[in-house]
Amino acid sequence: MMGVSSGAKRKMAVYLAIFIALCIFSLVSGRLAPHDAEFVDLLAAKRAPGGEYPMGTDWLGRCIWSRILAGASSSIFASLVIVVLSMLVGCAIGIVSGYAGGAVDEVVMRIVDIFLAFPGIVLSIAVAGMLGPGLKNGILALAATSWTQYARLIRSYVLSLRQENFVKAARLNGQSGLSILARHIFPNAIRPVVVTGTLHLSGAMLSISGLSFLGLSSSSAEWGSMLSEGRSLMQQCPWVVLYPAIAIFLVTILFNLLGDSVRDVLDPNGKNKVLND
Amino acid sequence: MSKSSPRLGQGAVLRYVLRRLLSLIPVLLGVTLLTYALMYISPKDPVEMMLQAQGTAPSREVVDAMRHQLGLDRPFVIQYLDWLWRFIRGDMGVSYVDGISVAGKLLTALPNTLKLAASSVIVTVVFSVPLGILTAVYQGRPVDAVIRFLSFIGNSLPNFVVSLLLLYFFALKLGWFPILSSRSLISLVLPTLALAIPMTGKYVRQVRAAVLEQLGRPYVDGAVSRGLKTRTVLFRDVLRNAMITIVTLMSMSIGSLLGGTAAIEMIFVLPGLGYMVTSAVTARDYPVIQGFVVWMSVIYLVINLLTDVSYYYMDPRVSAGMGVE
Repeated sequence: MMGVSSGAKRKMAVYLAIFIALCIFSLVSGRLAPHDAEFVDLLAAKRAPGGEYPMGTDWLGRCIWSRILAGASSSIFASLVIVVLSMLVGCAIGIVSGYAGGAVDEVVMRIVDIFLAFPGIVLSIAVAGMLGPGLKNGILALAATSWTQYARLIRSYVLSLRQENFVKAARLNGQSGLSILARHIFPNAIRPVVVTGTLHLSGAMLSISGLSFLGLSSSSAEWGSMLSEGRSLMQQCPWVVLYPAIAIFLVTILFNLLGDSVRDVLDPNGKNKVLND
Repeated sequence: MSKSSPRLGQGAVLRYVLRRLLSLIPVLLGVTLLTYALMYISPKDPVEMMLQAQGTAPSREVVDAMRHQLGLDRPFVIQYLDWLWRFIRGDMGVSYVDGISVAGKLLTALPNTLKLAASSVIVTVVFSVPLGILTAVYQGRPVDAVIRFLSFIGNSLPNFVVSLLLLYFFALKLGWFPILSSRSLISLVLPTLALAIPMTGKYVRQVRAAVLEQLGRPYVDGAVSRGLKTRTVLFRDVLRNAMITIVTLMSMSIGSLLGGTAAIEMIFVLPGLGYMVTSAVTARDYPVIQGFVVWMSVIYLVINLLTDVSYYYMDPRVSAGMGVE
């Protein structure tokens, strides 16, 4: 980590702390809600923010603040799961493919090519179409399309590390393939994966709320679906849309700041700088 | 790839394109197989869906007869090959919901999405290239800080949030634009901006990085010290070399807009491809989803190929890579 200013490290530490706090908060936030997020009270419908309902209520009298808190767990948790899941699957496939080489590598890379032939969200839409709506299905649909970037990334590192002398030395010493992978290759290839993963967080957040917005993922209190349900009421009671929008915006900003700062510390030469999507 | 390798002729480019097209065949087979398999293993039975859409109660005999009639009782491979053969000939089947041919549905929806995608990419490029150059040239100055801050904000806003904001202020509060889309050009303004604003945020960052990278090259210092105006160097050389980044970004954007316009089309009730496929997913209308997915991949692969070919015309050094490989 030479050449990285202590300012950059401090910045990363701060964002990381906020991020971890937010993740812990999202696990318990549903219980902190003053009202039941799904409780329908037509007498309290369309109340403006203030008093008992700090963010107002929607057309069914559900408390927006409580729904934001309940939605935090699904929105934030979902983006984390998408990143971790695609990271694990992608890395496992990429390492095996790169280390095995030969026919295995060839087959795996052709499969990756096929997955990469689906543009953007199209494959997610197809998977969501097959599985039907639901948060779990939305997560699966997005992880099914994003594992390829990890597979390709780690494979390229494995391929170059395999040629390094310390790996050759380990092989001459009689270490098994598995132990070489675990002790020499993985620790050296993990850094770019972490950078890609943190940069992926905000994209995952936007994708899962986008799928929910389209009605292809969660239908309960999730920020994207709250926006989608509330948009017809925007003129009458803008707060129904305003607060979930702010929530998505703030969390995405935090994820972006975290991603940028992690990249600045772990990858100061900027291999991930241009065209990272 | 040596710098002195001769620029390849048109014949070499043609051979490169042909080779790439051939390599697309196995990929497309994989795409169609995966798409068909996804719908095949789906837990919902298409025959029951069709009967429900027609309002018939699915009785066992009717379902079996219909499965046989549609050929759904055959083995998977036969069904897939049959589907693929019809697909190649342009017959993508009919929608389970309304019985309209999938080809017809795609063709009606395509122009709306194309218009939206094209206009938003154009608006994005028109705004982000000058802004990106500005931030790079004034690196570290207030202008740079303000534009970078704004582009960071834009990058953190999903397009459906932007469109709701635009809709609220410019259509509902100020009444400058219509809420729903019509055929008029003015109704395209808000959806275009909704897509262009987040994209501009992303582009400005990348253009800035590309221009900064170029400005650090020795040829820039050389040209300036030879007495060329900075502006001349900027627009004649730097921008030309940064073009590759811009073209790459554009092809990536078009890829993500194939389907990525769905939320915008829903909000502005614009009957494009995204709108069509979202309704199809909700109704489990498999032929429509299949047709959409495969065609989007075909378009995407062609765009990628065109992008790679365009590199040849922008940077002669790339052509060396086309010959070898």
